[in-house]
Amino acid sequence: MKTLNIRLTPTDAAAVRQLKSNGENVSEIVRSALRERASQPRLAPQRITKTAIRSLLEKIDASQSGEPVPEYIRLGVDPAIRQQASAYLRLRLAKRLGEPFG
Amino acid sequence: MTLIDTNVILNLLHRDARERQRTQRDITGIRDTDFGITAFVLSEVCSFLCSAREYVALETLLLGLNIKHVESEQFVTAQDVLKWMQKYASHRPDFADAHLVLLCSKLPKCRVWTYDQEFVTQWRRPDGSAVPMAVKN
Repeated sequence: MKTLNIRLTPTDAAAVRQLKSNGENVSEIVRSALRERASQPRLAPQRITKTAIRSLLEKIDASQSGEPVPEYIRLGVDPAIRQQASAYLRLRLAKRLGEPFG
Repeated sequence: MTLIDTNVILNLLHRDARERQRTQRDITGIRDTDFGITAFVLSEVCSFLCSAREYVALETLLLGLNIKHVESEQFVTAQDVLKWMQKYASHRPDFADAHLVLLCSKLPKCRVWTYDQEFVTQWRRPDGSAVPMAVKN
């Protein structure tokens, strides 16, 4: 029989301890969960249509209507340029800490 | 799964429709619309936002695209990320980015959607392979 090596978070490990102390067979619980999940059909995710994304962004625009433009945009920070984004976040952190930025 | 980076989310939330054109076009070409976001990316996004309405806009976007929160603790530890960051320390990588690189080396069929060029030109997964990208930069 094959074995499965799974990393456990502290919460998972606590759950295992609890189950064992309750006299439960942890291996059988895992095997059962695996079989159950594998038996469920996986629906292929649908592509996002132009209409759907346009409609969603219009909804988002409406929710932000009248709001001031975020500071990072006013400062001309391009989040796709990581160095700019990091510098901006350091600036904000420095402001919060009340320390000079540099 | 397609893991979304900070710059993509911020671009989709941008008020100027002209700024969103590329992202809007790219999203319709992505085959795997099983979107995921890590807590680190979400935290980074929130650092750019200031008002209640911006948080509402973010929530609307997450729900509208069904972007799921990725529980990553069982795949990538903080220690893994810090080790990778040591290797690329001269680039001063962000934790959130480093975490994305490692996560897509652990999750099967996982791609990153970002406009950050370093994912393509500089950074590699621990086995030396390129980071799979959802969109060509």
